[in-house]
Formats: sequence, structure tokens, C-alpha cells
Amino acid sequence: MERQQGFRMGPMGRTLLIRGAPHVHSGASVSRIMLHVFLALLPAGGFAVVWFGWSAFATLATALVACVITERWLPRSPGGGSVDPSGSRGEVAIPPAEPTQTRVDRERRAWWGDGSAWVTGLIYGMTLPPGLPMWMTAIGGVVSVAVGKWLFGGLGSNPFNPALVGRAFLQAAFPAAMTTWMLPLEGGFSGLHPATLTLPFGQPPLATAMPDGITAATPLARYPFETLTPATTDLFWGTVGGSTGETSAILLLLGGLYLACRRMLDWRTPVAIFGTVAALSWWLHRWVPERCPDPVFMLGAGGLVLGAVFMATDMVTSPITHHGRIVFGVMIGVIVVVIRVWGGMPEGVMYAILLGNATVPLIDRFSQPVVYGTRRRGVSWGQSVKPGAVVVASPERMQSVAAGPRSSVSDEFSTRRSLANDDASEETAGHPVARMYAVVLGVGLVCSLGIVVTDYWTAPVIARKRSEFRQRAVLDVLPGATVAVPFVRRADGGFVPSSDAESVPRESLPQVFAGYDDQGRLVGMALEAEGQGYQDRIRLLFGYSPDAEAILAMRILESRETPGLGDRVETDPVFLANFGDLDVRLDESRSKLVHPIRLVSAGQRSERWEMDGITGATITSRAIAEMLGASAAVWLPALSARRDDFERVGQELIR
Amino acid sequence: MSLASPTGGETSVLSTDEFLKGVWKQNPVFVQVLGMCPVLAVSNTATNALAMGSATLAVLLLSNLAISCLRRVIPEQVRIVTYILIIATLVTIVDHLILAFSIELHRALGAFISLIVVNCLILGRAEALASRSSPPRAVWDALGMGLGFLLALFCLGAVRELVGSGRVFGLLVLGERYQGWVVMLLPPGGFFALAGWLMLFRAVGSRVADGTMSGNR
Repeated sequence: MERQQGFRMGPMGRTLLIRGAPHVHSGASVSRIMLHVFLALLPAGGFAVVWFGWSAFATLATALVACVITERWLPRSPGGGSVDPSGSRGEVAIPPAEPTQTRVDRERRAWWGDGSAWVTGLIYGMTLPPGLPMWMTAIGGVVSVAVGKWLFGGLGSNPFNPALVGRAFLQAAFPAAMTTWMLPLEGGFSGLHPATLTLPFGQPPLATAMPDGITAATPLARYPFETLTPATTDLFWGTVGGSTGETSAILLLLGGLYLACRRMLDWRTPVAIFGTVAALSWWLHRWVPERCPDPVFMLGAGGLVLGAVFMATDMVTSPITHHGRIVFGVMIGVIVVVIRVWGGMPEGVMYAILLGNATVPLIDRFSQPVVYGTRRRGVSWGQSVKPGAVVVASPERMQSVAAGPRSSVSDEFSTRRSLANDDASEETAGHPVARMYAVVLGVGLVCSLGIVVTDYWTAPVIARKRSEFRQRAVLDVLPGATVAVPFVRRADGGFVPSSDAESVPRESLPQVFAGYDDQGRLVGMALEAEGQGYQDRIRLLFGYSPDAEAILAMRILESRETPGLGDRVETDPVFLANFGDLDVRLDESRSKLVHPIRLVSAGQRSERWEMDGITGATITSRAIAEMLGASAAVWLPALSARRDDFERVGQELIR
Repeated sequence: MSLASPTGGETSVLSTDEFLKGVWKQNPVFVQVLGMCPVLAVSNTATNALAMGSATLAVLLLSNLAISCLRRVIPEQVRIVTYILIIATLVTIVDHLILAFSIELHRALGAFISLIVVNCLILGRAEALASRSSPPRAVWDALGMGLGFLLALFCLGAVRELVGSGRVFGLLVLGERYQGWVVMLLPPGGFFALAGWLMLFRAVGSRVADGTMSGNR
């Protein structure tokens, strides 16, 4: 093997062999490598079709077609038309007559091209959920090739893995559809997932609208809720849910082994990834088992094997040097574990690899071998500029450059002003300084006056609008109420309407609203709760009924959650159905909840104190559940103890 | 008060050319590429874009007027300090007015109203033009630039809202079954939309320039 690579082990170590002509081409080329990668992926792809059914076939086929056609259709370079082989424009090159067999080969190869679009298409298709609408797959395929490869200058110039660029785009554009997972079809394939054939640009049916048993969360997505893992054999053979091609670890590993034997795959990166993930998750599993699953599950679940073997080893987007590849692998492994354990998404392989791709130029630079005879690594990256030196063009300024950093004016665009400054600074510090102070103070005074006047003028309007907004929100969360009255809590624990309270300190703004119906009966109390969501703080208002001892409704006041994902807490019918009868009973001592509010994964709600989460919006759903639980634990004992305060006010209202 | 035009005659300072340069030739967003932060952040719906554009236009107009009136009074050394004082005051006032007008709108625009203070466009026009020109000219320029900014924001906002949710101004345009591309409502969508419009602007602009050049020959 060493001899083939041009080295021979001699008495003094490795000796470089130099041979003269004739040489024989080894036959290695980009298209051949791509062909073998494609073949290595086929077993896992075939298993996907068998396991998930016709939908998986549709997904893979659409992905392939979209990528290949995009690559064929786009011109060679983003700047304009194809590269003209004849040289200057206007000349027509007459190609020499070529033998028929070569021409036939060339035409056949034209569809295969360099094979990269086929490989991109297959890998990209394998990272998608099997039931994804075909039109979405097609768009992602176009983005993969057009943005992920062509825009950056074609194969070899792309910094990011093209398949992952397409998937990342789809994840951002259609987050709900990309987190709808199909159950594997038992006993072979039969029939299509209903979402696959959605009309182009039309909405796929909601996961909640599909009959039971068609969709379910993947093992990784279920782990935070249930801490149960499927059998290891299932995980590795691939008989679990997940993306189209990621499930069968065994088949993917076999494909990788095949490539490694052909020396088309460097084992360093996958081994580094697997090693890091295993080590980190073993350690974390001992400390926080409810967040971090065991190492075997971490290795087999999700897209880790697919990503580590086929995506992180992509030759264009991974480091060149051996050391660099190990560093790359370790980094990806760390990021995968961090995202899976602490991040909001169940699966972190895609983002880990993309982030890794971004650091590859840096890794390449720092992992260069040291140049013999110096202490410098790799090629020199140009003259380094001493910090503080100013690069200027005119020779007169060279004096000031030599004088040191920031010695004189460094912008040449306001020479007039700088001259004026010099003149001014030569004068004695008398009139100009006084004038400066006078002007700034004067302008400042006028501005302050303007602000004060505006504030005075608009404050009552703003206060009125705020209270109207609150009123509307309160009536929303207390169905049946027609009047809302704000209350503040007195020092002795009693509640009085805030209009009655005499000196109300600023901190105790109305925190509780009571809603009454036409007969002055107390419908319930509305409380605010606040907490940290996925993107930013979330503030909500919820309505509590002391009769039913339940939370009636919830309304979000302020949130910056992702549209289409986190903000589904406001619209998702399954999530909204949590309320109305959300049990917040107090125990006999009336001081704490009998059952704390618990979040379960979507569709698993079985007790009245549990809440269905939203798949794909785990952190937001959990934040809401925790906020409600915390607020209820703090306020409900006080509210139910002083219930008479509220009812009394209601009676006074109707009089 | 009047400028000498390239062809030798004199044109009034308040000409339509001066006004339109802010909209087309020197468009703050598509040509000068100024003030990108609010452009990308607040243009996720057409309503927000219009509101932000109007607020910026108002602040630009008033600040140009104020600075132009005070241009002989403010000493060179403290000019930036004073400009910021004036601009910040105007932004605070506009912020209060928006809050008094609609709480929902204020919440949608969020922190970006306050960021109008550091919008390069406003300080840039103050420094480049308002501090050296008469009030009429400063106001005219502010109107042109502000309108250009508003139109650019509106283009972005309309496209993002349309593709992202199938609506324009909250009204359903593409039908109920349209699947919105959520990415267009997020910051990456702002970049994509901006890139698309820039491409269009440059393509049309260069074609127009070719046309006028060949027409002059």
C-alpha cells in the first residue's frame, strides 16, 4: 500500500519514490468516486422504501430529479452563460471528429455529469421526513444545488454541504411539515402518506387532522417526555421512525465500510464523531439521565450515522489534513450532544455539521504541518500589518505613520475640517469652548422640554389604551364574563379593586383581574405569568375558575416565538384544548396544588393535570406549562383564601 | 440657492430631479445600502414596513429641518453630539405618538423604533446635506430620501408577507390553502428578499442606463 502511494519504507524511514514516464492513469476521478458513494447509499435507501413505503420512494425520487435537473439546467458559472470552450467570443470552434464510442460514452456521462448532483440528491432525500409533500422536496432540491453549490462557484468551491443547505432551508421555511413524522408501515409498503401528494404550494393536512396511527414522534423527539428508549436492535437495524434514510445504522455503516475499503472515505472523521458522542453522552448520562439518553441510544438514534459517515466526510467541505479531520469530528460530536441535550430541537446533526463546515477554513489553516526549517505553519498568508499602523497613500503622511498609532488624522475626506480644527485649537480656550457648552446645553434644554410636553400630553391616552387592551384580554380568558375589575393586593393579604386602593406603590400594579357576569357573579380571576420561552420572554394571561378549580383559558400577551413553530401555542387546536379543564386543584391545606401541571408529548394527555405539548415546539410548550404551574402555585392559595373579597365587589357592582 | 446644471443652465434647488434622486438614483436601501438593520428586521409584514418607513420619514424630515435651521449656530466640534440630541428627541416623541396611536403596532415594531436614532440614513443626510444647505433644500432632500426608504421597505415587506403567509396587509390574497414559507418572515427571508430586489434594481437600472447611453449617441 505504501508503495502505491509513492513511498517505500527504507532503513531511514519513509523514502519518496520518484518514477519517470510512462505513467498509467489510475482511473480515479470525481465521477467514479461519486458513483461509489451513490452505490454505498443505495442499501439504506432501499431499506427506507421497504420500511416506510411509497411515500419514501416518492421523496427520494423527487429529491434526485430536482437536484439533477437543476444542475443540468443551470449555466456553468453564476456570472452568465456556459464557459465558452473556443476562447474568445464570436469564434465558432469546430470540434475534431471523434470516434463513435467516445461520443456515446460522453453523452451517457453527460447525464451523470460529475455525479455530485446525484449524490447530493440522494443524501438530501434521505434526510427528509418520509411523508413530506413532494413539492417541498422539489424546492429544497433546487435550493440545495442552486444555492448550496452553484452560487458559490460549483463543486469544490462550496463551503457548506449542499444537501444540508437544502434541508436547512426547508426546516426554516416549512417547520411544521418538516417535523411531522410518519409511522413506519408494518408488514411492507402499501399506500401513500396523505401529505405526499399535496398540491404544489398548498398546505399539507395537519398532523392532528390525520387518522390515528399515521404520525408519531421519532425516538429522539419522544425522549424528553418519556425517557424510554426502543430496543437497541431496533435502533440499529432501522425499524424505528425517523427521516427517510437515517434509520438503518447497520446498512449505513456497511456502506461506509465499503467506501473506506476503496479508500474513498477517511475513517478519521466518523470515528472521531462517534467517539466524542459516545464519551460525552456516557458522562452526561450519569449526571443528567433525564436530559441525556445512554450512549448506545445517542449513537443509533437520529441522523448521526448518516451524517457522520456520508455528510461530514464530504471531501469538499471537510478539512484536508488528517489532524484537522479529527478536530472537525470532535467538534461536530460536541455540538451534536449539546444540541440534543440542552437545545430546543431533538436533532442536532444537521446544524452541527453546518457549523463544522463553517470552521473548516480555520481548521485547515491551523492544522498545516510546520514548514521545514522554520517555525511557521503552512503557507504565509500575506504580510501582517502591525497593529496600530495606518496604511496611507501619500508620502507626506509617512512621517506620521512612523510616529506611531493614531498620531494624526487618519481620514483624508474631511481635510477641510481638520484644518479648521487645527486653527481652532491654536486659539486660546476661551470663546469657542463657552459657545460649545452653550449650544449643547441650549439644544438639550429645548429637546427635554419637547419630550416632557409630549409625555404629558400622551400619557393619559396611553394609559387608557393599555387598560382597554387588558380588559379585552381578561374577558377573553374568562368566558362568560362581561365586566373585568383590576385588583391589587394589600399588605394584609386582602384584595381590593385598584381604584379603591389609596397610595398604591408602583410595584403592585393590578396583578389580578376579576371577571363578573351580568348578575354580578364571580366567573373567575385572570392572572399574568411571565417566563423565558425559546426566543425571548413570554407573557401570558390565564383565567382561573375557583368553582371548577381549573384554568379556563390562556392568552399570549407578548411573545417573540418562531412563526409557524413556537407561535402555534396560540393557534394549535390540540394545545388550546389543554385549557378549559386544566386541573389545578388545591389540597386540603389549601396551600399547594394536588398535582403539578405536567407536559406530555402531543396526543398523550391522559390526566386532567397534564398538558399536550406541540411537536417541534417543545421548549415553548414547556415554558408555558412551567409558567402556569409556578404562577398557580404562588397565587391560587391566596386567591381561594380571599375569595370573599372578590365576590363582595361583584355584589356591589350590580347595586 | 440654485445649482448650475451640467448642461450650463441653472436649475432650481427644489427640482424634481433632486427629489427623485432619493427615490431612484440614490435610493437609501437599494443603492446606498444604508440603514440595513431596520430594513431587514421590521419588513416582515407590509403594515410594519409602512409604519417603520413613515416613522423614519417623519424623523428624517424634522431632523433635517431642525439641523438646517441651526446650521450656523452649532459649532463644528460638537456637531455630532447636537445632531444625535435632536434626532433622539424626535425619535422619543415619535415613539410616544405611535404608542398612543396603537399598542399592537408599537409592540410589533418593538425596539426598532428606538433604533431609528442610529439609522445611518438620518445622520448621514444631516451631515452631508442638512448642515450645509438651506432649510427648503434640506426638507426637499429629506422628502425624497424618506420616500425612497419607505418605498423600499414596502417592497420588501409586501413580498415577505405575501410569500411568507399568503397575505398582504393581513388580507388573505393567495387563498386559504396556501402554505406560507415561514423562512420569509424570519431574518433570513429578509436577506433573500433584499437580494432579490437588489438584483432586480441593478438589472433594470443597467438596462435603463444602456438605453440612455445608446440614445445619446
